[in-house]
Amino acid sequence: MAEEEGEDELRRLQESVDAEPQNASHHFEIGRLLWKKGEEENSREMKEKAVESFVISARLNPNNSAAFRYLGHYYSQVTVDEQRASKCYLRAVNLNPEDFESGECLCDLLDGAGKESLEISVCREASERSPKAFWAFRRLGYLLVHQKKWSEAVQSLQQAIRGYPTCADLWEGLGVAYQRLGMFTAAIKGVEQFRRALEISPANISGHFGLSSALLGLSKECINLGAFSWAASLLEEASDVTEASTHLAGNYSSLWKLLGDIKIAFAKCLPWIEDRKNGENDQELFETSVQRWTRARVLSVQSATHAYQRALHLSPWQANIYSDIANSIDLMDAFDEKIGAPIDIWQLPEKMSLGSLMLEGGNSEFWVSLGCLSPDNPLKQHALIRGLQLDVSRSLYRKSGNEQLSKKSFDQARSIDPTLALPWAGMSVDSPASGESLASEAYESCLRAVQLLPLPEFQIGLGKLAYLSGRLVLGAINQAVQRAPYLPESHNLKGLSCEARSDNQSAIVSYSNALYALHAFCKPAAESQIADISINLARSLCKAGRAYDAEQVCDNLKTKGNNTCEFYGKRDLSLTEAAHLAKNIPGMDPSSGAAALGLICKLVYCSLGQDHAVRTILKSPRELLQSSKTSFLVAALCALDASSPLQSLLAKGLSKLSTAEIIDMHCLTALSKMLVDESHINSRILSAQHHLKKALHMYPDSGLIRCIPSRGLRSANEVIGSANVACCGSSTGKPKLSFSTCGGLSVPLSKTIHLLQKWLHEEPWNHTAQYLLILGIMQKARVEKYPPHLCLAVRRLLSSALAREIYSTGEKQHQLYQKFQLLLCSSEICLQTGDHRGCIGRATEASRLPVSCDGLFFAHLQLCRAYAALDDLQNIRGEYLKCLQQETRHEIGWILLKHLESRHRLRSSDEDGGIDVNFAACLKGNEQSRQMWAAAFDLVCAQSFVWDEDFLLAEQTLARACAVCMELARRQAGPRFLSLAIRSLTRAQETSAAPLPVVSALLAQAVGSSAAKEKWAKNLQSEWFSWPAERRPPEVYFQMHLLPEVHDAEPSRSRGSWVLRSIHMNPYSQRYWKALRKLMEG
Amino acid sequence: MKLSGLKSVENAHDDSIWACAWVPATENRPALLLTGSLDETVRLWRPDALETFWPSPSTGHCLGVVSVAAHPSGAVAASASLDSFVRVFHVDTNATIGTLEAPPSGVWGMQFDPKGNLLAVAGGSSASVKLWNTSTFELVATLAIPHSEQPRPGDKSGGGGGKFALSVAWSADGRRLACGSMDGTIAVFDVARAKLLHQLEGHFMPVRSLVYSPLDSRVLFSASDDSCVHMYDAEGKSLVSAMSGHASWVLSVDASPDGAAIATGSSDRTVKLWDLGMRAAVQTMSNHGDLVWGVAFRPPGGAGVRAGRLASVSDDKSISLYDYS
Repeated sequence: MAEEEGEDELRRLQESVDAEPQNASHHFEIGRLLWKKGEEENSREMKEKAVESFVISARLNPNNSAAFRYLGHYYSQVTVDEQRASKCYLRAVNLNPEDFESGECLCDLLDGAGKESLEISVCREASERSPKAFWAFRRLGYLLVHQKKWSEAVQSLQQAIRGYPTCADLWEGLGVAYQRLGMFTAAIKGVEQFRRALEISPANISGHFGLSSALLGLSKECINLGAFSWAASLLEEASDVTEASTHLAGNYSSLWKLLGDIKIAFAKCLPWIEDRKNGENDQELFETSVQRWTRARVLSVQSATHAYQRALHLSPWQANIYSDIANSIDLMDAFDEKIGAPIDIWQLPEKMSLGSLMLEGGNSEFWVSLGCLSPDNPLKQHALIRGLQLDVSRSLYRKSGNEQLSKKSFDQARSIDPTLALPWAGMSVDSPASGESLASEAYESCLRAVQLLPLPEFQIGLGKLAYLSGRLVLGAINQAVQRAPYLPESHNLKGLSCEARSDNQSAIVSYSNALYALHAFCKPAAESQIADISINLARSLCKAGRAYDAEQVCDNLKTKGNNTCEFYGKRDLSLTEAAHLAKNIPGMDPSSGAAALGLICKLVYCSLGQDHAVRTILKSPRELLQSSKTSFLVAALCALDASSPLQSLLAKGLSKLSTAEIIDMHCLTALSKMLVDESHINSRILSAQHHLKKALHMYPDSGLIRCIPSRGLRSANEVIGSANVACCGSSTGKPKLSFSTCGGLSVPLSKTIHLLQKWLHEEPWNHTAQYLLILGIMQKARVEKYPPHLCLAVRRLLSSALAREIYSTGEKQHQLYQKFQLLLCSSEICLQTGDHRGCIGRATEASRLPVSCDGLFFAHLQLCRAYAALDDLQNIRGEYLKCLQQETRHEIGWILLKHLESRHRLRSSDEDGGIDVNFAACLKGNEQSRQMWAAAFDLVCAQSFVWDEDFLLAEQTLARACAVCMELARRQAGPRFLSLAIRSLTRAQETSAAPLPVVSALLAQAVGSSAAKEKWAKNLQSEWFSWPAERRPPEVYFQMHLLPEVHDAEPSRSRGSWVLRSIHMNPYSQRYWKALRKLMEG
Repeated sequence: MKLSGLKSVENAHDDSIWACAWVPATENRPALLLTGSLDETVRLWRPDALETFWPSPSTGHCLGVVSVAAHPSGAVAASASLDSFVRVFHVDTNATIGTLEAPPSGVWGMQFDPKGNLLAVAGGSSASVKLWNTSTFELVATLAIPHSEQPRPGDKSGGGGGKFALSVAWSADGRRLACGSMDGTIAVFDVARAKLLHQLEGHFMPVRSLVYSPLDSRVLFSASDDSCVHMYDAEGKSLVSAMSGHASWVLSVDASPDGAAIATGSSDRTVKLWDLGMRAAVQTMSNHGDLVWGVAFRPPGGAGVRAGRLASVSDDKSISLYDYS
């Protein structure tokens, strides 16, 4: 049937060809049909016939690439004319670069003829012409891999994979290319590619081989980076993969060798991981863990040796396997510590390396390994020299023990290849030998060496050097511990570096590990080492506050007859030590004497207290006090107790300090001024601030300190922040109507808030910063009459601050107080935003806190206000009574309470003047601002009388208030106010006046009413000037319009414009409008 | 591998600049630089001339802006201020999409995940990382950092062992999230299971900034106040290497898109470029006059943009742009 159909079709096509002899496609179709038939029947004639048709078709339509392809097939398969075939294929490919069939055939032909470069150029051309010519990319990728042009190969292979995503070979090729690119990142990708390849064809041996060698490569990169546990996990996977593939095919020597390599690498890099139980180790645990670690490594090396032997068995002609075996045996010996075994003339490792040399005498590496392995010195030197002759870039003299030569060779080696770690390490070993001054140079080269090649020996060396030059290298030391846990040195160094970072817990663990290591692995443990480490251990135990343990360690040492004068863990022990030291002081040289004195002071202070410390210092020789550290001690003691007899000593000490020390000293002095005595808190803060400013003026550079975490300006920050808050707190009720009452507040509020924000940003965890910031913003919100956005911000800050753990668990008084303040702030914000329930909740919470002083008064006051806002009379009364019970020393509290009392008529008839009496008591204690408070209180009283419609009393009180105000004005406001104040005092009886700035206006009114027009004008003008320009209230403008046209204030202004301005500022006042209307009418 | 200064804008903000991030390029505009400052504004800059992109700076914060982050799509960005909330906005129009807050948690570092589905926010004293869904802007998960058993030396908060979450970083594959704490530990989370894997140790002062290697999700870089930059194997829980060279706190770290280098900004007023092959600083830029709070490499992408760019912002109110090659 099929045949017949084919016949039919052929006939039909033949007819159409006959009908249109010029149509190329008909010819092509016939040709294709015939070719197919020819393929099926494998008849040459049929194919020849087909070719005739193709030739005709190609001639008619020279752009048909398929015709050329078939022609190519014909020439290559039937007539075997490669020349022509390739020409036809080339033509086909040129016409259609995506024609994979002809492309592949062409390349096969070229490949067969060995024309590689031609092949590449064909592929490249095709790939450039079409991004979909995947066959070309694939071919090109393979070829480039073959030619070892890795980076180009990667590009081509990636493109090809898009076309053939299931082709395992491609993935594998990409893997190889990445792996060979040699970059860390590339190696990671290489592993991925191999994994993909294996997913597609899981039984592919070369895929397995590639994957495991890629893993090996990656792990080597990891080791170079220092990521040992990562490398170990990679190597485990690699050895699994390799072992699996050895099961698939056990007769590849290269597989076995790879397995050996992997095992060796694993043994070398496996890190020792400390298994901590409850943070502490004991000897047994430590030993078993180290032994387990050693055993794992030995096992790994053993299996490596076996794998190498198999490899050698399979291909005994490969020289490098001999050398590998030699190396692995040597490594095993090193692990087993069989070095002490009797030395044969020809040891096994040596024999093996000789075997490799016999096969390849010209390989320098073999010579080197022989040199390293041979215990025989002359042979070693000979081998090394031989290696050096073959390859000059190695520096080997160090091992041959020739100091002089080694130095030269290191320098030379470094100049040849600066990325080799060994020369750097060698240099660092040499330089301390040649002098102490080079320690830092040694540190630098050692650091370089460690960075290039993280070997434990280098790292320990680095740790030692760093300790000498006072640097921290915890990273390196940690790795050293992982790699060489059997060396007590490494644990000890780790302990030291932990201790330097005041991580005492870890330090203790490390030191005890060091002791265990010392006992377990260094059999004839040196007494001095034990003593050193024990001392370290005891010290860190002391620092961690475990005096008892420390004492035990000391006792252990004492039984061995060591001098333990370093300890000050327990009280009596420390005192005896102190006494002992004190006896020795006169015999010491000044610097160590001073240090000893410092130590004694510390001891005495800790165990006996301040007074004794002071006495000790007074007794000690004066010249010892010259040193900076002692000066600090003295200053600190002075700060704690101002009346101490040490003050006289302080000045003497200052002369010898460096700038940085002086700045520190100034900070200390500032603090001491803050602590100085019981004077008013503001003045204390201000004096401290003043001192700091002076210090800053003297040392403007110390702005630097802000960058460095120094206590200095941080405390300054705190001082400024608190001063700001305190000042704002003490300024009177309505800031818009009053002047800044705090002269010391040099920084404007917004600036302070910025400073506080900066501080908080630098130390986000600092709750004091957050607390002060909240209070600062609270003040700002208050000044701006609680705008919603600020309220929202404060509320958010408050909620996050109150959630801090320190406030939920903190027991300390100042923490409680801060929490209390925050709760009150929160309550106030709730009140201002109309959330009365929240307000009451917060205030109640605050009132339950056990704060000392009179804080509770304010909590209840706040509750009063909250209930007042709700008009809940019952509760107001209750809270009011509680307030009266609690009492306070703060005048403002009583004033506010008075205000509330009168507002809501809380005063019951039976009690008389509870508030007044209390307030009077308050005033007695306050010298500085008594009058101010009295005036404010009087004002409130007057207000309350007005509410009570008791005008007579109100007038009297106001007059009193006014008088006081005048007095205040006289004191504060300078000469311009002076005469005015004196005059107004005489008239105080006649007037009813309000506080400070309004005074002259009222005076003017008073004068005006007594018909002295000139004086009235004068007063009014002085009122105008007494207001700062930006704060003049509308009323002043309004008053000004009453003045005659020409006056000093602003001569050009008409009366109308004064009124207009006042209306502009306060459009709600009917009076102004009326006056304006009058003016207009007039 | 080197940096060369391209452009510096003095007084780019009215006050200290605290945060910067690159907004990835979209189809109709190149990548842009986003900065946040103490002056309570967020501004957007067009490279390389550093002209402002918006007609007026973005407002909406009441306190200093501590952190900015950009969505990988480049269309959306977020900014966070000291008053503990996150504002999410359209980059092109500066229109607010929403505000995220989870009281009483604070807001410090934040970052969008590589796929753009989640926003991770370091919650300060709440000792947790909050994960927000970026399509619904709802709180998805809270990853809490457990207390440490023993108080660590760096613990200044006074609360026994409580953590203070400062910085976050997503791994390149989006499966891991790292969170740096004030006491120097770094918590690593498995995001899919919302589970703490382990804590990395090595720093003993606050970890201000974290970044994963763009090439390998195991490698994590951290910047700390102990003036060291650490490189961790975040899966193997081990410190790979410690790089020292800054004279003071290291405030910010970012990894170059090619993975071969990292850049750091420090309170010693310098920007350093570190070669990861050598594990050493190869270049130090000292053009800033105050603490350098942020450094950021421009992500690759955008029409024909191949050149590497690094931006740095500082307390001296200036932005600097460098060519990285």
